[in-house]
Amino acid sequence: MVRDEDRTVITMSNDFQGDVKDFAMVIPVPTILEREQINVAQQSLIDHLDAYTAPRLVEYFDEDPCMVRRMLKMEMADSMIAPTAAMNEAQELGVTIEASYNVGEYDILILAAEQSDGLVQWLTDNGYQLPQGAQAVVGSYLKQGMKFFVAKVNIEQQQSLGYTSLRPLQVAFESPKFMLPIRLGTLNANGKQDLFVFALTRTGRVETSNYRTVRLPTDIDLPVFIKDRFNDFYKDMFHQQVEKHDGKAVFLEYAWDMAWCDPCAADPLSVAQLRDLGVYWVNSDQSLRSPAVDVFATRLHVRYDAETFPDDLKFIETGDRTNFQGRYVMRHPWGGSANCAAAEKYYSSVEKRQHENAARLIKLTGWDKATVESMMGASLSVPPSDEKWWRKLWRE
Amino acid sequence: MADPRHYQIGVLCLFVVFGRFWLGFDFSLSVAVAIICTALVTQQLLFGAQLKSALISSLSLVLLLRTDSILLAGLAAAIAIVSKRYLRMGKHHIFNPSAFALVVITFAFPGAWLAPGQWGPMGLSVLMLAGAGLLVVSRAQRVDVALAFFVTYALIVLGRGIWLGDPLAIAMHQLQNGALIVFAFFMITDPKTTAATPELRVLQGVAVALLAVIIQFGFYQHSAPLFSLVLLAPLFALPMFHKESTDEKNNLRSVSTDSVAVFGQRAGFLRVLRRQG
Repeated sequence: MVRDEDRTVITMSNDFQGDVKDFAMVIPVPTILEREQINVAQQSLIDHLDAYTAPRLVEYFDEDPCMVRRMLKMEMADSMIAPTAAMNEAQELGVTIEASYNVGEYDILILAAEQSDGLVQWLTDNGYQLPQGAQAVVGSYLKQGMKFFVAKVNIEQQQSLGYTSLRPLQVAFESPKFMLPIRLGTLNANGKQDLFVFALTRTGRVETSNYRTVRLPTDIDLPVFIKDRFNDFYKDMFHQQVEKHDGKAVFLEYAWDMAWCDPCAADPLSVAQLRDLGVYWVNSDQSLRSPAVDVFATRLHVRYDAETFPDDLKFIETGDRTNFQGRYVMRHPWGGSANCAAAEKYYSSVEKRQHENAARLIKLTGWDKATVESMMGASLSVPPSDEKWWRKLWRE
Repeated sequence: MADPRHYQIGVLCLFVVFGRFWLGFDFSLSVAVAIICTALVTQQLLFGAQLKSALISSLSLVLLLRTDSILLAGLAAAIAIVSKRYLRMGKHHIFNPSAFALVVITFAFPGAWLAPGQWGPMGLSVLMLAGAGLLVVSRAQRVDVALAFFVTYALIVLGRGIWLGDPLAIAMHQLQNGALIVFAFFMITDPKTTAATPELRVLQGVAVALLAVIIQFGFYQHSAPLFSLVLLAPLFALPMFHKESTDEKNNLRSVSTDSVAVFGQRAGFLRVLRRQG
């Protein structure tokens, strides 16, 4: 989602599961869109943005306690994809087809209607299956002056273009409404669904104005075995956080100036990529590979259903340019041999920190204590201590 | 009678602490200190007294203003206090000082913003907030304007929801907003900017609610009540809204001259002693 004053470009990427010929998208839009306001983007853009803003696991290796040096490596993780779809149904009239376009592999209609029953009926008649309760929601949007953007896949076009997956659709419009309509999407979902909002703005971080935006816990030291289980860790931690806030908060996962990153989970997007996403203010004269200026990226993660998020998501752009990232740290203990007075102290500090990290992990994820301990056991690289308690008692 | 401002300061402090440590309000300690110190110093320089009033304005700013800049934080506090000194109609302020400062600073500088979502949907806690607010307001005798505003606003939001065919949950979500409650019970009730008689105050509350609804649903602007209050302030500062009825005058005098009355009694006591002597 790109937003600057009233100008908005939304790129919608969907993780639709199933046969693409059954796919359709019904989205309320604030204005009637002309052909030039609609585009199809490459999925790689969203994938790159996802990777760039993803929570990261940072790996450090302890130096030889008898020496000094450090090394750094990182890894990123997590899945993504924004839903917000609505399935279909229709008959009767009062429906105006404001426009009909073929864009890439999609057939697109812009619909306006006097009454929701007319529109719902028309959609049903035309083979769209709308979920139960859609009429009331459609009616509400129509009364608020919204139009409907309806897209389905043109299979022949898709085959001739040679794409197998659904590419993201883009729309550009001008409207004071800085929002995402999520209400239709809650009707046909199985339980809660996840939505990732990547906002690219000029001034600063984006947050919701009608829901609380909360920062995820970050900069946390974790046991080293988490390396192979980072996705599980992140999923479970997110789940715990959602529960902690009664399912009613939006989570900030990343907020950073697009010109750089530290540590980088993926390179910042190039000027060319940003322009493809709709960031119209980046200078096209500028070398397309150089870092962009005046672009601030925000990644929000929402897990929602109709009960916890009854109203659409409304956003504001703040003036906050403070950087934020989900960053989790593994510190590998020194694995070499160490025979000095400092080593003794070092190993006892390692043991202490490993237990603290385990406790932290249990608290954040709700994982079972015994399981964590058994996983810990495998990764404990501290020589077992057979030191007697009295040995330190009168030592100088 | 105890000074209602003590209650106000107490409740606002409670909100600041609750907001910062439970809800994670996004302000740094240095920003809070900058706001409070600037407000107190400016108040001392311009008025030489009434530090409690400056403290109330600055606590409202700490609750509602978001910025990373200490300079902007201080500037907002200064604007609030300066507006009391120079933007006035007779003895009344044209603008509620913190509302005015919030609107000016967020419009003029991208580095300052409002965070209406920070309270989250609050359910029961909203009612408690409202209860605490009500206590403060009734002590300050301006509960009429708060109720007029809140009832009008709530009826329109509920009515709009019914007209749209929306589930009640949406209207309730829109009403269960801490920012709205703080506005209704702490900002619009400022005795220096509310009209003189109960009838006029009800009119004022209704007018602010109507304009707020237009701004919110017609212009899609968040924090609409705040903008509505500031936009309508010059109108309600006109002398016609501040002609006090005789009853009201007496009532107000008895409140605002409490300390004088106490002093008077003491003086009387001294006189009695002297006469006896």
